[in-house]
Amino acid sequence: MLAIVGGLLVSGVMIAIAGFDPLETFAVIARGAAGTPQSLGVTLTNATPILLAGLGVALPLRCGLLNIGGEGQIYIGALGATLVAIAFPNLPAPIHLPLSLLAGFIGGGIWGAIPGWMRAVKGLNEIITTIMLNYIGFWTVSYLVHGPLKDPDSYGYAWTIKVPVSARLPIIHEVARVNLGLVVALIVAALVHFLLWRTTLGFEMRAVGAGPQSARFAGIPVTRGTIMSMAIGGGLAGVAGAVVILGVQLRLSDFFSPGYGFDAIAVALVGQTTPVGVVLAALFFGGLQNGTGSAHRTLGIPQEIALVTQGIILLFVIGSQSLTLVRLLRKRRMVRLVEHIR
Amino acid sequence: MLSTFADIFLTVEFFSASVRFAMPLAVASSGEIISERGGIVNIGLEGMMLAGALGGMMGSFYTNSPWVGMLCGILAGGLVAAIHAFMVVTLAADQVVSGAALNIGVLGMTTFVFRAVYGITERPIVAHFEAWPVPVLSRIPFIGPILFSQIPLVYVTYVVVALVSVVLFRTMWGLGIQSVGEHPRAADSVGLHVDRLRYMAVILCGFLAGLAGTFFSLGQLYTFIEGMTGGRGFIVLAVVIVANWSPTRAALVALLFGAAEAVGLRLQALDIGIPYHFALAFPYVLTLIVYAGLAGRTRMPHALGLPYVKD
Repeated sequence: MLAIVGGLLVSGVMIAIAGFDPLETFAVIARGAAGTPQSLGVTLTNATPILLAGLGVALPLRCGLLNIGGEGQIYIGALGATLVAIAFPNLPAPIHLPLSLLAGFIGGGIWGAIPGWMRAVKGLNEIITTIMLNYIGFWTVSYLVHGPLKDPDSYGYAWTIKVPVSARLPIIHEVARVNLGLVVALIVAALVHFLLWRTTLGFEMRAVGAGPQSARFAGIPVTRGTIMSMAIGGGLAGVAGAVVILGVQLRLSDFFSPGYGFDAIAVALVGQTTPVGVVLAALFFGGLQNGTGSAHRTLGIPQEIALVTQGIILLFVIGSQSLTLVRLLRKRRMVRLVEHIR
Repeated sequence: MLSTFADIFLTVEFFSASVRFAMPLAVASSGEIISERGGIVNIGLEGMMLAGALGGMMGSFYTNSPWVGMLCGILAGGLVAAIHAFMVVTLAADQVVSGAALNIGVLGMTTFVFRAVYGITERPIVAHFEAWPVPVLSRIPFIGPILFSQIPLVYVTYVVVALVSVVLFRTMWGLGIQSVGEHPRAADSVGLHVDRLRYMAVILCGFLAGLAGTFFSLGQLYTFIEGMTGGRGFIVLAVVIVANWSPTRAALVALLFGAAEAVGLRLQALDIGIPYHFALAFPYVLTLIVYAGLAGRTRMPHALGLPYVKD
């Protein structure tokens, strides 16, 4: 909370330097984020994918793994969902929609399981492998939408045909234009909470995150926890891609994600890696992006102030976490422990 | 088919482009190696390169000199690095997270500053580096036009890679950096200033990342574009591991990536039926395979990523 105030303070100073009135700007941002049912609807729609992808970062983080591969998992998840959606145009909606979402989960899950497996079995750093898979995933989708999957009547745009109505996420609030994706995301958040604190697998993941060595000595299957956390995390990011395609974009392209996978890292960390925190952080950042968009339109202030604020808040969050004495002491113990093991 | 292949790729232009594209990767790798040898992971490299690109463009805009621009770019990279150093050395924050936060913040910050200064529509073209053939050396057959008919930034790269190799492995300061990255407590106990050395390593890395960034704004496009470093900072992280934390090996790996980028652009320009997407994805697939193949055979600095807190 303090971090968010600090972040807003710093970006307020930047806004002032750029020659705008910070208070007026923040007022416009707040109104643009939640002033009317329509704007609140946009905020909620913005928040949905970063909520899901944020959970996809938070879950592996609980297991001690940083998933920077959200972007690639989102693209491959969106690909899976699109393929199932356009391959079976005649399925009834109650089967077609869940099946398409599941395909998104599986697509992203595969893209997450690869680095998980590489980490668990071969000891390869997941940060490097997920970054590489981001690019491979992106270029794969880019090739497909420029080539085999391209809509023949697209007037030169590189995108697929529209997904059939039976696979689309229906609008659940007509005025705010919010689709069912939001509900899906909230249910998923609840499921992740349940997984982490009510199941054996969740316990194993948290144990591995607390210390892989001691977890191993305690007989916890470290390999399984590592691979599963990355596979499920990737799957959640894949669902994020699926809800964007099935709920908003309706076609797969290679430009549908404005960096959801990276927003997800911020959302997971500001949300303190708990599902409830992730939901709140996603709503905050979704509103921030939406609000700065309207500040850009009415005041002409560069929209990137949203990204700046996001980065600064993140720095404040990690700075304040490490400043607390408890954390310092724990780190000290950890360094000793690590040296002791060596 | 084979002869077309030779016509396209076994040319002076192709090799020369490969060297040019390798430049920012090689310089930034040298920086990252210093930082990681000192025990600090710097994921924020991408942001530091981007800051360098903007700094270089703005410096050149106001002075009309690409050299002053280069200096400004170097300083801009160092400035971002100083924040990272403060976060991870003084506050003992998580190194990866701090770097990731900086990437997000700097991506927004550079675009914000650029738009705030030049407006939404303007994109000024600034004084930039022109190719400058080195006398005598550039006349060596084949090698000359490839290595010595480049923009000055490429020659700066040769010097940087050589210097970093020498400084890191042949000077007391370099050995000090290595020891705080291997075993900070032992380094501390023999009187080395761990925090000070780590600060220097990170900021030096930022200087080199900034230098790498100026390549994009002063050597390639002559202006600034949002996110113009295009993820190359992340490639560098892989280059460093594949090169086993050696600056000269990193330069060779960078050359491989430069060549892959040149292949991609060639295929895209020629449109001969091979989808350029595959060519552009190729470097990343290659990295993944090489990295997997090297599993367990590289040796990273022992205290990499660990904060050091004095008792």
